[in-house]
Amino acid sequence: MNTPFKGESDLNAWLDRHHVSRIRTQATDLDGFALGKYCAREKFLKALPIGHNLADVSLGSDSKSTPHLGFWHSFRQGAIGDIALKPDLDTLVPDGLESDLGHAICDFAQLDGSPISLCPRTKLKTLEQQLADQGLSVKCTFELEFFLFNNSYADAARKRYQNLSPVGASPLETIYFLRDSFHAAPFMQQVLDRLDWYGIPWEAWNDENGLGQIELNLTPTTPTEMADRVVRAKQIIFETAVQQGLSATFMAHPQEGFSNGMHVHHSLLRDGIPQFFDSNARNRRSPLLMNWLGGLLSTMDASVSYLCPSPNSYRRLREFAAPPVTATWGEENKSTGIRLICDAPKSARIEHRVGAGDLNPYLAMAAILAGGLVGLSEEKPPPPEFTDLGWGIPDSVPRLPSDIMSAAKALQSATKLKTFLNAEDVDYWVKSRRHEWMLFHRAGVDPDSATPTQWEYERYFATV
Amino acid sequence: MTDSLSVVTQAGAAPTETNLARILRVNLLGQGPKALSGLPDHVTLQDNKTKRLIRLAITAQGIVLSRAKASSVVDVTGNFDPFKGSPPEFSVRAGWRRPLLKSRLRALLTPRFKPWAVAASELFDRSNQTKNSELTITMLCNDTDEQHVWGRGSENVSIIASQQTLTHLFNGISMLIDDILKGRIQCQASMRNIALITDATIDQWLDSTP
Repeated sequence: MNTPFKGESDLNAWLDRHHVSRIRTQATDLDGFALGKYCAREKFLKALPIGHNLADVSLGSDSKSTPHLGFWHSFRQGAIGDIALKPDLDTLVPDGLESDLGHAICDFAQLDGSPISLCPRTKLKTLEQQLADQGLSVKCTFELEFFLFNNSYADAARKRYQNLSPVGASPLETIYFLRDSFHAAPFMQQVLDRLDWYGIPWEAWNDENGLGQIELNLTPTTPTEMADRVVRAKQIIFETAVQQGLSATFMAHPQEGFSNGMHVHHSLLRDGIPQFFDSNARNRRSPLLMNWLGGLLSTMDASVSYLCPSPNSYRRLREFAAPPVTATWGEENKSTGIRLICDAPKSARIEHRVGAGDLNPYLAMAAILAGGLVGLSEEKPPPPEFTDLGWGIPDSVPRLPSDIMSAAKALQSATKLKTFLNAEDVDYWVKSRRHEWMLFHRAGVDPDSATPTQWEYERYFATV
Repeated sequence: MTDSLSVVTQAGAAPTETNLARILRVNLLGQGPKALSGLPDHVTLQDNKTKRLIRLAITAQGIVLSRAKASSVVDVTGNFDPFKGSPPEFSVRAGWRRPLLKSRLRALLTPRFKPWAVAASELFDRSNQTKNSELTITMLCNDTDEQHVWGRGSENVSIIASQQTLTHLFNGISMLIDDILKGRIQCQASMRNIALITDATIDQWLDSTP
């Protein structure tokens, strides 16, 4: 039986028991790409605990592996050197499909094993620790949305990503439509089998609004573990699509119509007890919840940069198109930036609805936690609840940043958020977004075009 | 008076717009309000490469840049591509028969260059590149043999290029990394120091240096 290594102490015995002779390492770069190597068992073991080396520019490159030549971070070396991929052995799992393969999630680390603060996974762990220092923990989950096409990745590229054939029965943009789901079921069954083998619990999946669009819901857990599950689930979805001659994309806005979001649900706990619901408080909303909300709202403009990382992400943020466009909140309001669910102690939670399908789950969650921490430190309540529809409202209600540079500027000036996220790391991220923006425009594309440009397809369709 | 003149781009401005805005700002500062006198209340430019249309709305307070409608009559056409590493080349539409306005418009859109060494000093001062004790930046113009050194740090940066390349670079027309990759500049330094100086030239190129 497949069991994760977590909780065991004898690594060799576990590898023997699961017949693992190869281990694939996996770390996540700034753009959310899964990077790593296939290592022989002996090499993997020999490199422990620090892990194997790889070029330092792997954490200092853009989504096309072009090194970030125009800005600097102190973790990098003067003439390009190596850093390490430090395995987190608690994440070691057998593949299930390939009988001798195991998988380990890693952190980017210095060659002496010391952490690199810019590493997205390290960043999220740091934020979790800051909350733990206050006696708090977080339970969260992400909603994964993606489009599934009958075309293989090669075929999609040949067709320049135009007129692809969505998996489904209906030419209408239906939702929860079981005939569409049935078409996707063989694909999803293999995905779910592999999630089970990896020890990734899931709750449900369904046909989503867009043609060929599917939503997958994972079971909530702690932030870093959840982000690990998200990057693994995305890799599994990609690999299953390849194996079945299909293509799946998490591009935020791959075509006209509906887009891929990645909503983040989360709640705070103290000693394992949920803290958002308070039956004695007004509207049953605890003071902690209101302060946390206050922080999320006051930093939402700045956090958009992490939640919507690419030029393509911003095609999604349109009025009346489902995603929010304002820094607002409301109970059971799916048109605001934050939807509050506060009807029972255990299910009381915040649904952060700004995130795009192409976000990096580690960085997005870190930005959300940092926003909440700002709220706890300031003890400032959120603006009044927004009870109307969050679209079509007067221009006097400020909109969220609508492009990658506006979002980067908002983040750059977010002093309080930067104290929790590390100013040098935020500055590097902002420069990396500027770099992405410049490359987008260097291609001579029309930023106002109604549909994504070829540059976006070639850069993001098969990668994010 | 010139303090009250502004050049504003809109949210989501493309590099072509931000670059034009920088050129306009420098020229407005140099020429003052007379630079705008007699100009129509709006001018439409078209970039030959991208075919993008840009609208300059001209008021007594300054200029607002925005994307123009596809149906707009084009007044100025040219190569405004901000990534080509050289100044815009453009022509005012032939049917526009007011030579004074044509020359005013030309003056407004043509970048004004400072001598490269002066511009480099200003850039290094603005970006604090040479105020700390880390860098010594040696720059040689290989067609005039003019050489300058900035800073007294232990880490050396050596830059060699033509006068024109250096002039464009330090006047915000091009970016160091592009010039290096395209072979227009020889730059010997650590990756870190190239990145630090490149960052400053990109800030200048975007007109975002504080």
